[in-house]
Amino acid sequence: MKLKLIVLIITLFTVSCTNTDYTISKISYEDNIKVQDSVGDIEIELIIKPFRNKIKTLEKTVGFSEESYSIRDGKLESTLGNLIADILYEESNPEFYKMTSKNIDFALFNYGGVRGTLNKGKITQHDLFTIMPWKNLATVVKIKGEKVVELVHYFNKENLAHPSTRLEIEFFNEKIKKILINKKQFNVNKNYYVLTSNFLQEGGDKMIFFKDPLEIYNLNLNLRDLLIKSMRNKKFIKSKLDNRIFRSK
Amino acid sequence: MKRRNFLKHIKTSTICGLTLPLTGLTSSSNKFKKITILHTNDVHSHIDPFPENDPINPNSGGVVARSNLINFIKKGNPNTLVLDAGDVFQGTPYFNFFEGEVELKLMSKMGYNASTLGNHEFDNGIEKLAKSLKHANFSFLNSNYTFKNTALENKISKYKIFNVDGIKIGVFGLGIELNGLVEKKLYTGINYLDPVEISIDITNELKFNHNCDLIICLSHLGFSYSKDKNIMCDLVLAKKTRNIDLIIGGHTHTFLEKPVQIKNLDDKNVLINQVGCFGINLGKIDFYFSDEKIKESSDNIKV
Repeated sequence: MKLKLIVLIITLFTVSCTNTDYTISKISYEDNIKVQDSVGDIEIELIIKPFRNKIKTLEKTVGFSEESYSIRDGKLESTLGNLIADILYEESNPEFYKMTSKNIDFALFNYGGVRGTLNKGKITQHDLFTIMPWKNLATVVKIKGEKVVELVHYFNKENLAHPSTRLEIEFFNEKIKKILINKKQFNVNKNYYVLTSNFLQEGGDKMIFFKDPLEIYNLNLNLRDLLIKSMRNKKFIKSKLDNRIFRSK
Repeated sequence: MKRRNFLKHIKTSTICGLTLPLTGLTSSSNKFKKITILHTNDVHSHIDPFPENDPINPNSGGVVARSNLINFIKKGNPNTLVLDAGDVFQGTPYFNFFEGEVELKLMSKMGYNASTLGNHEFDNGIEKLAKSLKHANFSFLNSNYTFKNTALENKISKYKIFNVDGIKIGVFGLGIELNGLVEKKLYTGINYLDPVEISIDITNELKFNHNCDLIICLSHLGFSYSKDKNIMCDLVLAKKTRNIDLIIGGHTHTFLEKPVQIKNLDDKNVLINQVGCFGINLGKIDFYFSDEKIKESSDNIKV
């Protein structure tokens, strides 16, 4: 008993003794360190290996890319964004037509939804998982012309290369100069069918113009699966900037 | 070239580290204590390094290289904390197929001490996130989300205090407003609270109730937003709070060359650092402490 008490007192004493206040006397840092070129770490490799083996099947080639395409190589459009929006439209429109006997007018996705780059040369499923990791599904909304105007203002304000197709916009001095949809003059009194993802339809990335549409059609198609399917069919992939959305001077 | 300089720097500090236990015996004569903070953010499931044909970051990143670097630095200074500022998940098939198990097992192995919840931690929903946490032997910290009646209740701490060589380090986490970033059904039940108010409360608690010597915020708010300077972000947080020494940021994938210094409400310096994304860079900041008592504690109280 007594011994226990003594131990307790000693412990309390040492605890209170170590309770010193320290002050920062100096902070030092250099440039953030680049992580690269390293020899193996066996224990780490052992953890990764079984998982890596299970996803090896994704290394199969689905197609070839003529050049490297990025989401960051333009201003209000990008080579990778154009490629992805074009493919998703081509793959989704027939499905939508089967469902409704109507065509989709244009498509809009989000800049943040495209990650990484499509490298020159062979394209694997793994690459496409990295570019579009999400579970997002192709969704078509029918929206009023006034919502399309909101969408165009959003583009103007965000000033990012959100992937789009069949939508052409020219801005001049922050003002809208021209809007074409599927090569036709935009009409604010018309309703439009827009292809997007279920995530954006719910107002993701502040695309609130998709939030309460006149009609919603869930095509139940994973966007990445559509990319994989299309590239398998096409085999050779190329893309370019075409001034679909731009600021004139 | 830069890396070689860095290694040289590490080697000298390793030699210093060897002499530490000796001086440690004569405790009070030990003038400085050095704490090293290593950190990452937005690694997004990048387990393997970038391929050699990657046009921007060939052979960069990867868990193996990061682990070696962390071990090397820790050998030089065992008094090191390894922290992360969220978005551990989502970005490679490792997450699509294994739902967080690989990332969390590897971070545990690498000796991470804490991380915070990024918006992409919710990509499989609250239940799956809660389940995946069993693979982590470190804490996920968040103080501005409410988790009551969700699967995450009691699984996320507001803050954690690390006692490293007698230095008390309080670490707390802040998350971004999930509305608009995550599908509603994936985070139902979680409410977002104002990061500034929460930070003021938490840092008071850490500094005055727990006597922390160093306060670090793991923030997934984003460094700053060019379209609107008033959007909540690390720059705003630093200016509108007190008692935070270091904000380790994330979300905006901002590749800072080195930490930036901002004045807080008390006109004291706050460091903010963010190392981009995908495990390409590692942040390293050394704090040196002297064991003199803070004489004017009243100085800290401002009404």
